[in-house]
Amino acid sequence: MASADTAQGSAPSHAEEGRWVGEYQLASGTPLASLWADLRRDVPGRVLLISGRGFDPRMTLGASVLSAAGWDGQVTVALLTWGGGVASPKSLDVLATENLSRLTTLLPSATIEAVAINTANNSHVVSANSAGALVSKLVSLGAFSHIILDVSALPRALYFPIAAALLSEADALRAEPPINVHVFVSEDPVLDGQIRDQELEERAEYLPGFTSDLASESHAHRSKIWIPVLGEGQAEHLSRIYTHVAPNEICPVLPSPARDPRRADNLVLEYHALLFDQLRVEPRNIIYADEQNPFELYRQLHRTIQSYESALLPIGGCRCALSAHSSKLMSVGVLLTAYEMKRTGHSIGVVHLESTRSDISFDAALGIDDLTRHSELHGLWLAGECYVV
Amino acid sequence: MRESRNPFRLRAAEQIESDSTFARLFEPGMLDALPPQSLSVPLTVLQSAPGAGKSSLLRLFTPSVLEHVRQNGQREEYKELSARLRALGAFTPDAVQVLGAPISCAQTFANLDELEGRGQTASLRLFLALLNARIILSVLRSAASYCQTPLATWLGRARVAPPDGVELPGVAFPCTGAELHGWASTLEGRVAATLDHFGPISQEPDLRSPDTLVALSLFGDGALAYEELALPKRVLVLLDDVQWLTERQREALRTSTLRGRSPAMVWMAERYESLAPDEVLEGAREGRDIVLVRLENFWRQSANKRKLEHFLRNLGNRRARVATDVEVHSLDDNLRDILEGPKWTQLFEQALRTVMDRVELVGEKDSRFRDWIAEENANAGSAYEKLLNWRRLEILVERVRGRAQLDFGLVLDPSQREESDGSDIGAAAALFVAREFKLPYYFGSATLTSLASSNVEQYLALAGDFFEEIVSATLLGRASHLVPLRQDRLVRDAASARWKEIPSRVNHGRAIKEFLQNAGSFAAGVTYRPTAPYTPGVTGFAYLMRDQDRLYKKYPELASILASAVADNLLEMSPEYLCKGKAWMLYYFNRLLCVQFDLPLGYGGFREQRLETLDGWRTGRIHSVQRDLMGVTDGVS
Repeated sequence: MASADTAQGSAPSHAEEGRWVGEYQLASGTPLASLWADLRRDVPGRVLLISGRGFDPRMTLGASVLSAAGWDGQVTVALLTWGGGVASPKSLDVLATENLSRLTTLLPSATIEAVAINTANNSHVVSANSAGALVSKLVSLGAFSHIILDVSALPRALYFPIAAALLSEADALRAEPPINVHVFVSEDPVLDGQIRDQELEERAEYLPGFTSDLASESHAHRSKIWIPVLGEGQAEHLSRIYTHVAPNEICPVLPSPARDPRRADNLVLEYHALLFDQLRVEPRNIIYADEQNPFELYRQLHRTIQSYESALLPIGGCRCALSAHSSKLMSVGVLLTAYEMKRTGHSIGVVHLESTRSDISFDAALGIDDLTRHSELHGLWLAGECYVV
Repeated sequence: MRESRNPFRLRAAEQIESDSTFARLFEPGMLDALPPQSLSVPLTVLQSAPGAGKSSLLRLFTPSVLEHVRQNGQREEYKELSARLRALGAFTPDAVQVLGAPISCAQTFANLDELEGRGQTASLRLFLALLNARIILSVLRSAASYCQTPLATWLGRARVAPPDGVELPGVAFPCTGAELHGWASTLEGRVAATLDHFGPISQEPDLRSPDTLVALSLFGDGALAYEELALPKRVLVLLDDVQWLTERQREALRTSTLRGRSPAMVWMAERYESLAPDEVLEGAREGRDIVLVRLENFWRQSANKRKLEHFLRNLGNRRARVATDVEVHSLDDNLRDILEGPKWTQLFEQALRTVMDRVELVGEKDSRFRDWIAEENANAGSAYEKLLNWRRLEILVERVRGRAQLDFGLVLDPSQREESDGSDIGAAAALFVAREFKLPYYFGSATLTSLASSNVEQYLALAGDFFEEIVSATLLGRASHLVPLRQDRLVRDAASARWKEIPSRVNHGRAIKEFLQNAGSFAAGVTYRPTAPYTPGVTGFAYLMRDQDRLYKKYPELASILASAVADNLLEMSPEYLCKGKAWMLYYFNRLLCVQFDLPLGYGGFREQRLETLDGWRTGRIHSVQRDLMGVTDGVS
């Protein structure tokens, strides 16, 4: 079993115990490296690493951890490719090639499979049943003890349904011993700031698999609560998502604690006119969550949604729409909340506005090592042996 | 949610929760755009760019809003709206006549076409099943709302008896509202579950719904009954955001609506995005069963321009009156439209000196203008009037100097000046001095309505910026009037923000911005030539109507750019515009774009262009003559 050096949280229980409200496994840096070294000893077997294939310099950080922990030889890498987007400049193609070459250097004995995802209308959006079919196909590539979804180089519209389909598959199989599902996510505000959405889809959409009854006419009488997890430069996203959801109540989430202690204040300044003048958000509705801990965000969201449900029950209950505008790490907290609460019968969905073109301002010529200098890989163990009581 | 201190920030349809507030803020002039037969034909299609007021129109016809207006029709604030709705047939003094049932097409429908491994027929079946379910659910909810009864109670006591021959699998008519609601609810749930399921769909869901839009046939006169209460005779299905349906779904919807000859009427509101470029640029064809309303086109007809100005002013004043933090009765009254005070006088005098020096310098070298200059020196007036007059004279002098004909150096008579002078030159002079001396140009109530470009949302956004300043000044105990300089700054900031957001807001955003940059630079280059050849300025371009086919065939990318720009109201289109004995396809810039390029806001000034030239604006391959005008240095001739 993993060492206790990783962040293992516990929290007071609530009316309904959420899956990760009590225990969770989150690690980064040296503890993450130790965790995977320990897992090799305690929970051996084959590993399936699912990652996006592309130019993102963070694509191989997960493979580095496995390589350093001596998993080479037990790894199958599924490199996902998808349609959509526009032709990338040559410098980015060079990075994509460098990524592939680095992957084979890190895991020379690994089996590498290229897997094409069937996305809708040449976009980044994969339907729920396509995500399910994809996961079934990936799982059948071998008998795996660990399945890792590395979301570092994957767009949100892809990794949300795929992660949910993975968890759904693991939950449905009830295998003995259980399948261990992990998520790797690289956090790098500098690099994130250099990849900005430029052109957006015309409208927001509920992510496939996370529609729930939010779009339902049968439940139109139920109030809608929208919980956006705020990040910088997302005014247009927020505005369009608001139009799509048409919520009765809005509870924005601000990052606090955060590495930059003024980040929450700056976000309030950035969105003041939109949130408080146009959308008339009640300041008391603001939720604060640790920007470095998706499980903490999960807890906050879980608690908030349960409060609204119980308060609004006498007038028919409520439906909750979540949207992630912050880092990928925080978005995983949104994903966990939506998956788990939907599975346990809550009315919850995830709404998203896809970018059709990104403006990449980093200098690809710097190379992967330089570009990922500030990147920090986080590992979340979502399902499997560590949760067996 | 909180009360808004700035009611201009509320978009009418989506953000106003209470029906009474919505009705109070609704400006009746909007109904001018609806033809009188809109509540009698089977299908009415409302088309516009985003923000023109489609959703507000739909919401007006929901039962709770109609009933509120009917009951309060004698109150001053509702009198005009009530009279107009009565004239349309929405209600009589005794009762509401139509039961509006709103449905958004933005949710779920399009995803049905994306299900893996499903054929077109199966996807269309799912679409029709979901639409049937949602129409039924919405009609029942609207009926309960009309009866002011909680839905659950209403459903238990209501009876549904459709016209003879209308059947639903699994429902025995007549039935209770609850039975029909349960049927539709189950159907909606089954379709939604297909979408949310992680994994391949092993078998077709059990839909138990016909492959037609049967829901439109269900609700004939008397089909719904609730105790002793009389319900509106006709159902009006209000479909919003139809542009988000797939092309196949839209086609199926239109066909089903017109084929069935059903008792229910349908209104569809859609943006131009849903239309193919040729549809956007040409317009759909109306038939005897369809009323097509293109909102911007209606307002842009010359007969309706004054109506639009009146409509927008009233809209602004209505919003101002409902502000909670301050008492502002009228937005207009708070917008200063004169540049006055010692600071301005001093600035005008400095500017006047500059212009006079320039003209007199020319006069020293060219004696033909001696009498013109002497006459101007003798004229009285305020510093600003003198400044404008001298600038007019400068334009006229440049025109004479630019003429090729020989005049033997004779001194020009003042009467010759009068012949060539005109009010349009005065307008050009005002524009020129504003740019040269950085004077405010975009201010005043009339300017604010012009800047709307026939779009309600654009007007509300700008007026909201103005109102925000008025509220802040009032709260701080300062004078609430907004001075011209500040108005001009706010307008320029809004124009700049709109310009920056084009890539993220519109289809083909980057390409459109590039095209508009070149088009705008060209217009500014021509406008600001010293002779002011197209007074007061160029704010649009046109190509021959007969080139339309060539546009689609030879320049499909240009056609897409133009269509997307029209769809987002960045360009205002006037087909079949007659000028110089020819028909033109005329495009004016959105008036906020005019601000971006320091252009005037009037209409009428446009330049004819060949398609090749327009495509050059798209690709950057710009002819050298135009390049010089535009100040472009890296184009290709």
